[in-house]
Amino acid sequence: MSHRPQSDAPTQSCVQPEAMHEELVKAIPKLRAFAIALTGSVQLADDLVQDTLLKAWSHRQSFTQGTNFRAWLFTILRNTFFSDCRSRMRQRHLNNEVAPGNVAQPAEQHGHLDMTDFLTALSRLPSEQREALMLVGAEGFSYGEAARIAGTEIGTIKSRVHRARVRLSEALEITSATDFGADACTGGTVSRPDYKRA
Amino acid sequence: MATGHPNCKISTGGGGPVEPGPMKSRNDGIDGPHEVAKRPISADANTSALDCGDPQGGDADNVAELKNLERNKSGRLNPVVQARLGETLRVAYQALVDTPVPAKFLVLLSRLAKSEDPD
Repeated sequence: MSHRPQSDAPTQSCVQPEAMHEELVKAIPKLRAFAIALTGSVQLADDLVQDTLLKAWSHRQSFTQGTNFRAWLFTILRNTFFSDCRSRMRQRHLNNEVAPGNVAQPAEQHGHLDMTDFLTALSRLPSEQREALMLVGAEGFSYGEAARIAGTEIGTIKSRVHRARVRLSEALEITSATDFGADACTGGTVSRPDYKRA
Repeated sequence: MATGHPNCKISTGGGGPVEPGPMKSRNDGIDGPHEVAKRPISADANTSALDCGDPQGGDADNVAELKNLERNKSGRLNPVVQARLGETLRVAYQALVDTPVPAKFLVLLSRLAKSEDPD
C-alpha cells in the first residue's frame, strides 16, 4: 500500500535509552491517533499513550531486536486499552471532544459527507472492528501484522475489517461512490506538506 | 440401484433417476458480476436485449445499479465505494496524526531518559 510508513524498519539498538527515546518521540503522533480512534476521547487517548510510553520504556528489554518496533508499541497500546476496558469502563463513543476544534481537520469539505460524520460513524463501530480497520486501513499494517498485534487470527482480522467497512457504508448511507468524500480537493489539501494546524 | 446426479458422489439412496441439469453455482444465490450482467432486469423472457439492460445495449446505468444491488445482497461492497471509504479513512487518520502532540509526552520521555543517565 502506498501509505505504508517509512519507519517500519526495526531499529537495531532501540533498547538503548537514547535510541528508545528517539523512537518513542517519533511514534507519539501515530500512537495518539490510534488511541483517539480507539477511545473516542482525546483525554482518554492521552492517558493511554502515556501508559504505553511508560510500559514501553520499562519493558524495553523485552523488545526483540529485528522485529517491528511500531507493531510492538501498537500491541502494548491496544492491550492496555482492552485491559482497561475490561476492568473499568465500557466502550465510549466519540463525543464532542473529538470535534473539529480538537483535532487537525480538513478545513473545507466539498463532498456530501464531512469528516465529522465520518469520525462519528467510525466511533460507533464495535471496538474490535474499529481497531482492525484502523490497523489495516489507516496504519497500513498487513493483515498478518494486525492479527499479531490484536492477538488473533488473520481470518478474524479480515472479517472484522470487512464488517467494519460494511457497517461504515451503511451508517453513512453510501449508495454510490459520488455520495462520499473526502474528494480530491480535500485530499490534496490535507496531504500538502504545509498543511498543519497551528 | 441408487442413482443420482452424475456429478454427485453421494448416493441419493434410491428413487428414480435424476435428470442431469446445469450445475448450480457453488455460492447458491450469490452470482458473480458476469452472471449479473447476463441476467435480464425484466422478468419477461421475451423482452429485447435492449430492454433487458444488456451492457451492449442502451441501458448500462441500470446494469450498473443492478450490479450494486446484487453486491449488496451478497454482502460485498462496491469496489469504488470501498476505495473511497479507504481514502476517507486515511485522510481522517492523517488529521488525527497531524494533531499537535502535547508537550507533556516529550517532558515525560526526557525524564525517563535522564533517569537512565549514569551521569
